[in-house]
This record gives sequence, C-alpha cells and structure tokens, in this order.
Amino acid sequence: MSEAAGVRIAISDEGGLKRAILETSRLCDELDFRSDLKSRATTSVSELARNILKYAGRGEIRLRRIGESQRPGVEVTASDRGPGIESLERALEDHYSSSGTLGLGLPGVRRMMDDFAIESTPGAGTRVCAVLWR
Amino acid sequence: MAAGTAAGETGAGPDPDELLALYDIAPGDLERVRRCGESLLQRLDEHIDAFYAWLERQPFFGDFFADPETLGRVKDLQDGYWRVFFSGRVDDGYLLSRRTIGATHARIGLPPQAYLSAMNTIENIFADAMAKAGREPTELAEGLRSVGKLLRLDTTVIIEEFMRITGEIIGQQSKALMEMSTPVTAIWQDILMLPIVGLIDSQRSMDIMNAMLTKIAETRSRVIILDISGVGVVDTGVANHLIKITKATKLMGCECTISGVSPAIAQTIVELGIDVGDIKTNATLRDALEDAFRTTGIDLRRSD
Amino acid sequence: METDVPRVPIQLTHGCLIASIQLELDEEILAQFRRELLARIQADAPTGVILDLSGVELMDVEDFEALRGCAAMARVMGTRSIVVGLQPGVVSALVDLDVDTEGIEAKLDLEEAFRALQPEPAPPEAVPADDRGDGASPNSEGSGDEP
Repeated sequence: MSEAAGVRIAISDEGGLKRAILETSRLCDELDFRSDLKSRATTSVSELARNILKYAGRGEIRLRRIGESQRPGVEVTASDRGPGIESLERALEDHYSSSGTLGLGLPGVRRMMDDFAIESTPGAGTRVCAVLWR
Repeated sequence: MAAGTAAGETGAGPDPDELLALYDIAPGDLERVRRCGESLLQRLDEHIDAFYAWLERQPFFGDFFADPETLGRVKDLQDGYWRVFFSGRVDDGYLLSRRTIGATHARIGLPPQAYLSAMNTIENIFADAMAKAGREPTELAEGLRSVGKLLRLDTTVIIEEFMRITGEIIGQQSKALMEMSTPVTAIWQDILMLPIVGLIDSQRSMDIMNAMLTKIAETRSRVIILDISGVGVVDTGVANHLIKITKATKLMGCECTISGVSPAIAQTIVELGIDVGDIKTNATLRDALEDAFRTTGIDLRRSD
Repeated sequence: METDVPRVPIQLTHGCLIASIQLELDEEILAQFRRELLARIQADAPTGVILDLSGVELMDVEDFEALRGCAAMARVMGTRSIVVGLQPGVVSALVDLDVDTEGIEAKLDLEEAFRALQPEPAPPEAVPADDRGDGASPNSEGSGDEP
C-alpha cells in the first residue's frame, strides 16, 4: 500500500464499519499513536461511518497517513451521495436529548479531531474530512 | 451501477432486466443462445460426460463428488441446468435457480476456483462441439459470443449468492462464538455480570440485551454489572445501545452498572457529548462489585 | 356510576394498593382505572402503589405513557408507585420504541416492591457474636439457589 494513496473502505453495511475501525486502529498502531489518541481516531471513524449507514445507506471512508515522519497524522475522509445535511450549523451544535438518540455526533468528532472540515449539499451528498496528529 | 444487483439484497434478488442490460445481452443474443442449444442439447449427455471426465481428474473431486449417489444426482442437476440455460429465457425463476446453486456451493464449501474452472471447462467443451457442427464462421463467432455473455451472467449470480451465504454463515459462526465467550454469569447471589468484548454492532447489541433480560428474569438478580473494558470503540451508536440496555434492566427492577470505563473511552464519551446521566459507571470491576455488594446488602470482611 | 367497563382489580395488601393490570388498556378502561386508583389513594392512604404488570404480554408506547401518567398523579397525591413484573419481551419492545423511563420505578417482584415501600428500617445491629468472620454474610432474602 502506497502511503500517500491510503486505504479506501466501502461502507454499505456494518461489516464495512468494522473494517473501517480496524483499519484505523492498524494505521494508528503503525504510526505509534498513544492509546487515547487512537481511541479518538477510531471513535471518530466509527461515528462517521455510522452516519453514512444511517442517513445515506452507502458511502466510503478513506484513510491516509499524512505529515512528516516526526509529526505524522491520520487523515479520515468520509463521503457519501446521500441526502446531505440541510443545516450544517444545527448539525454542528450539540444535541441534548432525553430520549437517548444522540444526533449526528459531528460536534463530537470535531472536538476529538484536530482538523475538521465538512461540505454538504442537500440532495447531492456529504463529505467530512478530519485529521488527527500524533 | 444497478442498485438491484447488490449482493446484499435478500428475498427479491437481482433484477433480470438490469442484469441483461449490464451484460449487454439483447433479445438477439438470447435467440442465438437458443439456436446453439438446438444442436448442443441433442448430445448433452456426451458433453456432460466429457465434463465429468475432466472433473474426475481434479484435486477437489474427491472432496465433493466421490460418492456415486451424489455424483449421479449432480449429473442430473447439470442436465437440468443446461436445458434451462439454452431455453434463453432469463426471468426471476431463471435467476432463482442460479442463486440456489450459489447457495448450495456455499453450504458445502465448494471453493470458487472449483466452480469457475468448471465453467471454463464446460464452455470450452461447448465451443469445440459448436465448431465441429460445421456452422458458418460468422454465425459460429456470434453464437459463441452470446453464449459466453450469458455464461458470465450466470457465473455472476451464482458467485454473488455464494458470497452472500458464505458471509451469513461466517456471521452465524462468529455470533455463536460470541455467545459462548460472553455469557451472562451469576457471580454472586442477586448479582450478574456480563463482560463485553470487541466491537458492538446492532446484532450483538440485541443479543446482549436478550441474554441479559432472560438471565435477570431467571435468576431474579438485583444488580447486573456490564463490564466494557474489552470493548473496542464507544461511539454514539454504542452509547445508545448501552443506554437502552440500562433502561431495559431498570424496567425489570434490576440495577445496571457499567464498569471498565478506560480513561481513553471516558475521554471520547465526554468529547462526543454523550450524556451519561444517571447511569452508574465505574472505572474498575472491583469498584462496581463493591457497589453491588452494598446495594444487595452484603457485608464483606477479611478474615483475620 | 355503574358501567359495564371491565375493571382493573385494585386491592389493599400490607398497607399498599396493588393493581393487577391484565387487560388491554383502552381509553375507557384507563380512565376508569385512574379515577379509581386516585380515589383509593385518598380513601386508604397507602404507603405506596404497586402496578403489577406480570399479566401483560403486549404493551406499546401509549400504554406505557399512560402508566407513567398514573404514577405521576399518584406522586402528586404524595404516594410512591412501583412497577413490577414486566416481562423481558415487553421490556425489549418498549426500549426499542425508545420510551422515556423517567419517573418510573421498577422492582423484580411483589416482595421487592413491598420491601422498597416500607419505611426505612433501623440501622443494622453490630456483627452477630458467632460470626465466623470468614467473609460474606449472604443476604438472607432471595431464593438462595445460586451455584
């Protein structure tokens, strides 16, 4: 696997979600991430993959190693051609719900990762790109 | 890419028209397949025998076809298969018969290589037979092309179903393994414990829920400790499942404590903004146990 | 007002009102039950109310909300309610439907519910004289058939 190209995982069922988590974990191990950082990365990937399954049905997660050997990072790109997000602002606010459904999880991903960018066009799809540095 | 051909579809299966379009099979092709069939079917027995002569020489023959009764049955099925093939009618029934074959291969564990090389062999047998029949070169070439396209369509359907059933079987096996390795245990009077390991998906979460509720009802336990120190990832989906589980145990009058929350997971839980609310959590199993003993009125003393 | 609406039986036992809910809770039955329960609370001044759901095989969110409502009304009248006997299958379904469990207290069975509703017992005595000090003094309640 060429380091620049990275890994692409199709997300169309929970098997894909698991593969994405495992690949992320593997990449973090390769790059010697501390356990709490690894946890953030895998949790973020899990969140993003779940969103894909829940709202778009299918999509993909790309994982890439970026940065220098002194300061490596993991880049996660989650994309789908689903319905998109109507209001990005609201999606990025925290939801507090008593009934137990916990919203899109995006604010959490943004908190857990160092860099975070999202684009979404209603009717066309969504793309989230996030980076965690070691 | 036609959505209807997704291997994961249960029940309906792929759509015949979409598949025909994908393999560029027009009514003309199907007509050519029928015409090729006219001569091939007359000597189908011979062709099948030639195929089995090849099959007997293959290393996997002994594993699957050694028993004469099995062999006889499979030969009959082959005969039926080709008659249907050369009828040139690709509809839901046709596809269903192909999927059934794929499912059978999965259940008996026939390796894809065995099936694919067999298709290759029989295709060559047919091609030779058609060449010998002395048809006009263009007609022969077009006939072969059409037969080839339909063969590849068949192969696709069979392999996709093979993969789907194989996946299901693997899923069932790992589910069985999971159930064996994550039993709900009565560790003390009125106290149950369930260690959870690995990645939690919705199926496992349901299994965990059912196992717990059944055991609580059986043992009339008052406390259950859910130890998640072995859980790989706690995201909002997993947290939802855990919240559901604690709700359910509460409704049964059993108190649920989640133990084994590692610092890393504690961090992600907070960062995700998950409201743990009044769910009892403990860092260690030991703390959870102490709590449980207190709740059930047990007093432990060290013997001096 | 005498009606032919089937009644949910409510009886006073050990100072607690026990309602055995086995019927389908349609609007009428529910309204009748609520009225009667509140009237009994006022008349009998129980230590608590026990809603026995062990006879219920099927329950949806509406039914559950209705019971939550009863518990809330009882609470307003100063009385605690405890739900007992929910079947695993019913619980599973309710949770899947995302019911709100706020304000619901549940116990495993009648015995547990009674115990919970009794006034606080006096603090436990010091260790009995012949305690062998070999560790746990198992809880004397319960079925005692653990391995």
